[in-house]
Amino acid sequence: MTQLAAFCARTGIDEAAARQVLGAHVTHESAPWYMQVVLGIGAWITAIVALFFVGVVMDLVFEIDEPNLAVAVIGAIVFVASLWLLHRRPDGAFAAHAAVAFATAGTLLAAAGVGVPESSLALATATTLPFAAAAIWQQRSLLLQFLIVSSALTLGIVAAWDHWNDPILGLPALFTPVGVVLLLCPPRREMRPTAFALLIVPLLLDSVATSLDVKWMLWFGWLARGLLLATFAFLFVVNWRRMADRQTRLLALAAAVAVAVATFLLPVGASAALVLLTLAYTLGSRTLAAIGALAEVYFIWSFYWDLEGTLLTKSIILMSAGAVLLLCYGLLIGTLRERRAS
Amino acid sequence: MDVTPARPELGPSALQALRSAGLISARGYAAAVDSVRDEAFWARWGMRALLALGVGQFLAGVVFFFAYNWNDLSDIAKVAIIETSLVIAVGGALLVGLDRVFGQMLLIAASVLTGMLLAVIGQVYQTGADVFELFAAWAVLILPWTIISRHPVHWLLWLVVAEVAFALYGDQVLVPIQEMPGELVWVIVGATIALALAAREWAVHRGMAWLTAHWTRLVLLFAAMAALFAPAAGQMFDVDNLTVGAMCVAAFLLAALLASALYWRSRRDFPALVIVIGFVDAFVVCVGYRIIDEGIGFDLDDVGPALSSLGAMIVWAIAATGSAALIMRRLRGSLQEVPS
Repeated sequence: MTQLAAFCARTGIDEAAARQVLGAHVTHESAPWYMQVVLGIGAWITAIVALFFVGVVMDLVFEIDEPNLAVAVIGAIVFVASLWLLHRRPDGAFAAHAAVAFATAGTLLAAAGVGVPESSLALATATTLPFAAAAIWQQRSLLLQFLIVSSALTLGIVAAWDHWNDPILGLPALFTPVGVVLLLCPPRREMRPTAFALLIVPLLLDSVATSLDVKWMLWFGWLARGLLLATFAFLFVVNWRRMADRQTRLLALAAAVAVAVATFLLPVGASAALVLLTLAYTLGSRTLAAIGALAEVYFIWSFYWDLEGTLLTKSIILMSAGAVLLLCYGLLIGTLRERRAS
Repeated sequence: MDVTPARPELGPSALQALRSAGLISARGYAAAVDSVRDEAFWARWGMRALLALGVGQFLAGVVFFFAYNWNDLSDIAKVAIIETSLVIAVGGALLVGLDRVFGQMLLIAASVLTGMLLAVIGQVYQTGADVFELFAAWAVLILPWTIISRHPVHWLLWLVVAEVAFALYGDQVLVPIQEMPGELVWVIVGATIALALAAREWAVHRGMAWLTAHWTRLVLLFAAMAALFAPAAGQMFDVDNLTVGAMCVAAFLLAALLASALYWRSRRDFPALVIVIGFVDAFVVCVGYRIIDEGIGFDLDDVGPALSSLGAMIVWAIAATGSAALIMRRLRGSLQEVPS
């Protein structure tokens, strides 16, 4: 029995219908990722040169030297034309990447065309929202959805920083729960790129804010820690049903307490990375596992430069969190060995 | 213990396709994920992640603790701390055995600690030596461990240290005394990495099983092509010396030609060919830039030259990458994606 047949038998799905859906899906995504990367780089270089071309036309022919409403309209036209190209040539990797690059540039042109004359980041953010909706609505390119939603999120967060005059730390905690829910209970329309953007972009901006001299923590970090702990608890409940016997459940509970203690002690970015690692385990996603591991390493490394506490305090926090996790690991290994022996 | 998951027939994309088609409900999605998830792999991953997090955070805490007290430590204590760690790592490697991954990892850690020891000695005693000497000494000292560990990561570390030593020697000694132009330093770096790749292919052919991992070929090929591409592409933007420029371009083209022949005809490796094609595509785009700059000129203040040069550049870039796409599509049909 193939894996698909076994899967359909377990979940009660019509195997013939599943084969038909997956057949169409495989044909659509046939080029390997490394080939896509090469073609993607070529397409992006082409798009950048083309944008220079548009810039020169606007500057030298129409004498527009600063973004205005005309630029916004051109951006919208470029975006719509790119979506049309994506629908016409969905299988050509080069054309698809070029369309994605132009659509992203179109969105940013539109945001600049509306936001710059008014000197308003909030207005620029609002402008990107319909583009983000259209990027989610189109189902041809996951990369396009990720890039446009990421652009909207970045502008939104920077607008919030601008509104409160300083960068705010802890924002990943507001977006992480939404991303987790979108991945665990996905809607019928493909929204995984949006979920990934919600999980990754605020984390990236948090890492930028951490390195700046002036910044402040949203509600002293308690709200962020509370939200991340709640998300972690939710993930733990999702995993709970996987555990068959009482002993495994007790051990998992010990591991969960250890991770929760670490989440509570560590900086918000590192705690959010822990949530990503737990989500990777829940979904069996190697991409999330790699992102979570990288984020964890980065935030623990950047903890060194954190001026909130002395190096001595930070070393005690890290050693305590590490010791709790190692203790839990030792307990788990010991029990597994006992079980194997018996 | 193997941590490579079995390639699943049903991945996240396939599950989402079934969800989009309405064959899986939102409520049933987690259960569907459960039924295709490689349980054994993720159980092992979970345990290792817990161990890595625990060890990583504890060791980071130890590093922070020493950093807090570093200025108060005597010079001898600074050196003694690293030397003790070095002895523990080497002793541990011998105790565990070099035929086990943990033993090999300990020897790699000892090699890294050797570099740290040399850096601390340089900091404490202010020898006035050039940085390349530190890297050269590091490469020489860890070479015996690298040979006996028989681990590709250890060899990669050694190669990086040795190449950095040579690049710094070129930058700090050869270039200032005008013994060698800066571009040729990179050509030699690329050529030596290419030699390492050739040695790897020969060793695999002779049956050295520990070098057969596919990533070793791809990493060396990518590094060699990148090191040779940089000076060759640089010549397309600014040429100081025609002979040197010709040598840089010739070295890059020769490497591309040899690698194409090897991985198309002899070793038959599509991902390796994609790396070569990618770099050649980028080089052709740079050549186009040079030709257009010479022919029309990128004068962005004048409408005519600005629009015609940028327009020609767009056409050239589309033609170059489009041709690369066509070549890759053709090759893909005749080659296996991943070699056995």
